[in-house]
Amino acid sequence: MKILLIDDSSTMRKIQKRVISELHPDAIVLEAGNGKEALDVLKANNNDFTFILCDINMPEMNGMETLKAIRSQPETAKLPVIMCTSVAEKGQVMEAIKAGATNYLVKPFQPADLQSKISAVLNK
Amino acid sequence: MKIEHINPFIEATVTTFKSMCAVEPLRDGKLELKEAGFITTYDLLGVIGLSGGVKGAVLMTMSLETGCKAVSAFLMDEVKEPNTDLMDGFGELLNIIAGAAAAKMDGMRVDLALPTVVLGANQQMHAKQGNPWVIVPMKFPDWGKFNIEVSMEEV
Repeated sequence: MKILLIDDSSTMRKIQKRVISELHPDAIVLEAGNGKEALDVLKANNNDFTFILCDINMPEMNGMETLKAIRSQPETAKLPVIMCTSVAEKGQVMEAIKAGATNYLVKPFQPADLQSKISAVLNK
Repeated sequence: MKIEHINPFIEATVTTFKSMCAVEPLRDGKLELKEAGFITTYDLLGVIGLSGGVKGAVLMTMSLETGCKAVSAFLMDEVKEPNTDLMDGFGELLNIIAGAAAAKMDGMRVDLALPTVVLGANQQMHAKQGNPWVIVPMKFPDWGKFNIEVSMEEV
């Protein structure tokens, strides 16, 4: 299992990584601090990821732009993307779902919330 | 600024610290109104600009010692001194608070800028249009006091 974490907060990536390692100790977790970095990481790894966890509010290339870029490329279009973000306003959540988000987790979250979203994606 | 716009920030602060740091902060006295140009009480300070249906900013400020305790609980790893984890974690906590508060603003879209965190005493706070700031004094049960401060108007 290979997972890509996209969040401009290194602290949040550490927290997500810890929660994931409790659930999937053997998972390989790669990180990116914004959408541009994430697209580079995807390319460098031949888009071979089990799922992506993506923040929205990020510098350079935000999460919505990143999601749209991922969905627009045939080689990444079907990758599961869980949006994990402090953006909780209903209109913006719907915008992400319409743009192709596989699932949506609003911060603040409990570790069990993240694990549940991941399980739901993996069981699809 | 309408008082009903302050409550979402208080509720979001409590929810965020309960969920992410396993601590329940409490109100610590009455709201205060301060004119632009006031000097902040504490030396660790994070600020996020608000736009969309409103214009303004939300700010969280506490002592370095209290900030280290809060971020240590968030990260589940001890932070003893100013470093990247402290500044990043503090900004992320404020980002989560601002996002949760924005979602509670009924029928109003509030967009968040990226957080900025600074460390240093005697910061002088201003807001666009010279709007005043509403100060919400709060405290953690064991870690010390902090403020949530909001300056905001509808557009």
